[in-house]
Amino acid sequence: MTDPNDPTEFQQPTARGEIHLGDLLLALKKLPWKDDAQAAAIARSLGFSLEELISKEITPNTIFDNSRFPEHRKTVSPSRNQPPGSSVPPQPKPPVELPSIPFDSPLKPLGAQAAPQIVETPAWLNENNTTLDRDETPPVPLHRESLFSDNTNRGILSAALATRRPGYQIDVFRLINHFVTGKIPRTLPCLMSNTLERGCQLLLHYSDDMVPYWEDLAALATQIKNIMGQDRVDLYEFKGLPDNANTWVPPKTFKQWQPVSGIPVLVATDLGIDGGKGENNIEEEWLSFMRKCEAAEAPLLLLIPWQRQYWPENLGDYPFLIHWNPHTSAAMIRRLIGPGHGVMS
Amino acid sequence: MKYDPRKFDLAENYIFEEEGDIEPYLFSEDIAIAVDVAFATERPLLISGKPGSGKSRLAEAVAALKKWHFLSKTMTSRTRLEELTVELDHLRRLHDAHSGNGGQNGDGSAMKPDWAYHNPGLFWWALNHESAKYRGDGRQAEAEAMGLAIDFPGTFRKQENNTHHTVLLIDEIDKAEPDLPNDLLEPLDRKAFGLPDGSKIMAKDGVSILTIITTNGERELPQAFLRRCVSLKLEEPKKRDLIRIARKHYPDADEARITTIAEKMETFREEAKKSFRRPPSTSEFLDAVRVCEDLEIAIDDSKDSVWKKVENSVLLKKSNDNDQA
Repeated sequence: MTDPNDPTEFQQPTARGEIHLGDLLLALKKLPWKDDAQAAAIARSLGFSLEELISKEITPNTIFDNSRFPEHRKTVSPSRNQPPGSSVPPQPKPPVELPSIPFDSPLKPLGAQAAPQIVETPAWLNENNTTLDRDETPPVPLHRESLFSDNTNRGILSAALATRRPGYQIDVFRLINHFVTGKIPRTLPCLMSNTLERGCQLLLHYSDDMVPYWEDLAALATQIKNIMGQDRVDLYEFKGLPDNANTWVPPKTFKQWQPVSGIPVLVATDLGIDGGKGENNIEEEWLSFMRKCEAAEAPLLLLIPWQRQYWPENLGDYPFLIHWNPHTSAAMIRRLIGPGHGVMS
Repeated sequence: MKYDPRKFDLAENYIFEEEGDIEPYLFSEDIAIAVDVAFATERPLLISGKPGSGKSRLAEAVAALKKWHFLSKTMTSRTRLEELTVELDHLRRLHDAHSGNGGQNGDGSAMKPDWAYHNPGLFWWALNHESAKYRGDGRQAEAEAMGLAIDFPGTFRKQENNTHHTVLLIDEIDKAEPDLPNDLLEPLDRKAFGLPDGSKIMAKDGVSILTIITTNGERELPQAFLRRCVSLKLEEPKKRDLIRIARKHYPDADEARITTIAEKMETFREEAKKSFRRPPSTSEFLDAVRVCEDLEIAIDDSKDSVWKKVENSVLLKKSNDNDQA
């Protein structure tokens, strides 16, 4: 144990930092690996994908395997590989059958000689203008950043969904009050702290108007599960109104959504406004849904992709309205909600 | 050619034999390599895998193989860093200050020095066993006089040269609040942490610690935390390994019955994957073997057989009529 008053003793132990190539070299030097497979296993346990280096040519992207956790990939369409509880996208309409009666066309068919036959290489195609080699590798889909980015979603969603519970920091003012009145408290008075232990209900709006955001809905579900834990997130979907939200319970039943006291309800929706300015008033059924959450004392958060000026004006005070946008920050959420939803454990 | 671990002794058949209360453990080559890498690089070992796949058992087995002390703590949503490093017992201090019955001090209160209210957590025990026992360095005489010495809160093994190496298990870290893994970075990284009075507890010279952290993958862990850990994913054992595991746990069990249950496990796992159900785990497989052995239940697939009831209650755990499909 060091003495804080002795400057010669009080020194910071060295931090090791993140795993780096030095760790890999150290492990490969110290350990008795016998073949490429064992060396690859050593590298894999340290987060390096050495198999790629052994089997394929070296490319800069394979030196550190960032894709250890494939669930981070954002390019999966919400219509594919959906977890249980995710809705099936609407099937495309069958093509309209064409009438079987042949039509006479006034156009004359072109003869085989109509197309000029190029037999000689054009003069401009010489050694100075060679054709490019065809790229045989399959096209890689572009990385798609979701509406809450990888860097910010953890802070934003934690701030939005945190509830309050008695913490561990002593509430000095209440403690002094006990002393002044000459009473020993049975339990120590503590300040409140934030927690995610209550989990949340996530309602995703899979309407046709929300099609541009379907990938974001899927990404949002993954983000929330990653932060709060799989077991603490109840995922529901709806198409028209949130009251009808349900979730698939394997193998063949659906569970209807009901608000639960103290558990935040997060609804990702466009509120049916479709980005239009309309009458700026929301349907009565939505208001009824909000009243239902309020009656159950379930904090309600609406995540809306459209800009603020399109939001309906008659939503009332109960729901917290959050702009689902890359510019939204955790600080904005904390200003909106405060230190956490005031439901008590 | 099989990997021969350098940092710990493992039998050629890769099996850790039962030792006292610790159950036998079947190592795979991936497990042996990952444990060896964690020892060689002195990094924490993060083990992920389905519940019941043997993550916590592995930590116990490694501690027994190395003959090191073993400490463990299972995380909950209320676990904080202070529980793992040091907590100040505020309430006892408050009572001592307020009650005049002790009379140890001039003012008649039973108030003790600040260090007497330190409750050491697992990191303190692992970093410096002696100072944790007496709640601070050089406090042995005072602590013993006041009856404040604490017993080791885990499995204590006598080691050569009076060393105190420890395997420290932090179990189910994904159950804790999302910030806890980040809070752990300092004690894991620097092998040190601060006490409430501002002094620091650091690893005693020559003391080695292997921190094993387990996760069921229910929650994503912060990248900064992941990048400091050696990672190991425990795969589901194949039929052959299931039989070997069962044979080690229950050497006298009927081999044909074990084989049949192992075959059924493979079928159940396939079905579970298709229907998004949770597959039965290795520990549930061992439960089924034990039940069938103890109660002499034959594996009979007819609808009303006892085996079908066992299958449902121990392996499939179907909870309602909807699951019966």
